[in-house]
Amino acid sequence: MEFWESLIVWVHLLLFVYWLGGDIGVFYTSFFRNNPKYDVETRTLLSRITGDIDMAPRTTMVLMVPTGFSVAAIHGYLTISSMWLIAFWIFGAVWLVLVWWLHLEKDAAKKAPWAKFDLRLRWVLMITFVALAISSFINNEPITQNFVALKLLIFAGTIGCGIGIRVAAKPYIAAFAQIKAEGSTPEREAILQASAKAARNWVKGIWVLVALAAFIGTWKPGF
Amino acid sequence: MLDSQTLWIMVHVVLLVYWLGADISVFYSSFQLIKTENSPETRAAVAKVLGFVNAFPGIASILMLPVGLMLANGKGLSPISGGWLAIVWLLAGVWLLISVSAASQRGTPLGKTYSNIDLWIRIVLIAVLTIAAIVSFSSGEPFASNWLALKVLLFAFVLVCGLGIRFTFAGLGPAFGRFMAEGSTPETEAALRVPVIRVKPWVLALWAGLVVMSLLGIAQPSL
Repeated sequence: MEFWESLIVWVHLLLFVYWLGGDIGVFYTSFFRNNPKYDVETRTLLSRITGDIDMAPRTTMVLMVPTGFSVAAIHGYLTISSMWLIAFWIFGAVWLVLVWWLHLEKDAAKKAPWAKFDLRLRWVLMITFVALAISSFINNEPITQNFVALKLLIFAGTIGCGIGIRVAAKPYIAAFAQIKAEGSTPEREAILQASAKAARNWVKGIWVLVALAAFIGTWKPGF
Repeated sequence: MLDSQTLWIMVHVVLLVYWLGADISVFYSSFQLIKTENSPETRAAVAKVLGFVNAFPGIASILMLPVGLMLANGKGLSPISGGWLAIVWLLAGVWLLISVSAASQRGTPLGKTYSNIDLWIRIVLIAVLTIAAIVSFSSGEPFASNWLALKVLLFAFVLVCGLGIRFTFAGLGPAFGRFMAEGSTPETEAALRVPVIRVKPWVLALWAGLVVMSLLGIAQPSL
């Protein structure tokens, strides 16, 4: 492979490595956070640790957008002008700043509107990518290869699963706040467990989709 | 069509996910162990996370070698084929059993024996791989391409880093036991910090080795 081609494929691969690999730590730590045997202070700290490790998959997902399109472009699979790539990179950088700011900022009131914006952005991205993938399947535009369009569709699926996690975890966040403020009760723990379980199913969905996308990228089937 | 080489590349990449990608959780967790604001209970939970997630790189690193040799043979770059590859797989399987047993029997005399055997396997491998790489650079055998020979040499380097981690981290278990028994005192905290800080350069060197190896595997440059 040419130098630039290798370089961008390499970055794309490392993002995959830290997305799927980083998630193991998040997944396993979350069980300790959910465990009522630990005191609330410990669970709060474990929750923060889980959130920190989770920044690995969150960061990689954002950067997957510009690197994915760049890999497609460098292989000649895109019909759009390269100006769009610059736009994707700027978009990725700005979105990444937002995602990290939402993680580091502690003031919940200040964060709330931006968290809502981030969620809406994910909806818009998901719908846009589904539309682009379908258009590519039918017209070969903007992506000329079906396997690449399929990867974009799968990526839209991972965004959907991420939205699913946020929705599924809502009762969790409320129950955890109650446990922190007023202590653990069997009812609150039950809500927390049910919510965590639902969220875990979305997480597993992401794993399957991300692995599938990697597999298709390695295989590059013509269809 | 889907050929076996594609499947092995996918396995090769997934092993990197569970090696390099999982390692970030191990690395991050180790710093949570020495944070004085984390309670002993929190740190005990973090230690469990660390122990669990750390099993992934251990297993993935052992399987990387036979999978790598399969790929090299598939590309016609390695003379190890057919029955010899079967032997490589058999040996890797035995090594994996020994390594997993060493981890699961830790603290027992049997665990110590397994651990010593594992150590010697690694020392022999480092020597064999280094010699094979250097001979390949000068004569084109056993590995026909210099980029592959360099990957083999880097694998030996990564194994050395692994041993560095093993020896510097050996003090963590006893130090953590003392910390849990005696609580947070300046002495127990200091004893805990030593292995966590000392292991850092080894881990970073190991990651650098893996990251360079993955670039070499993608670019396959003529060196």
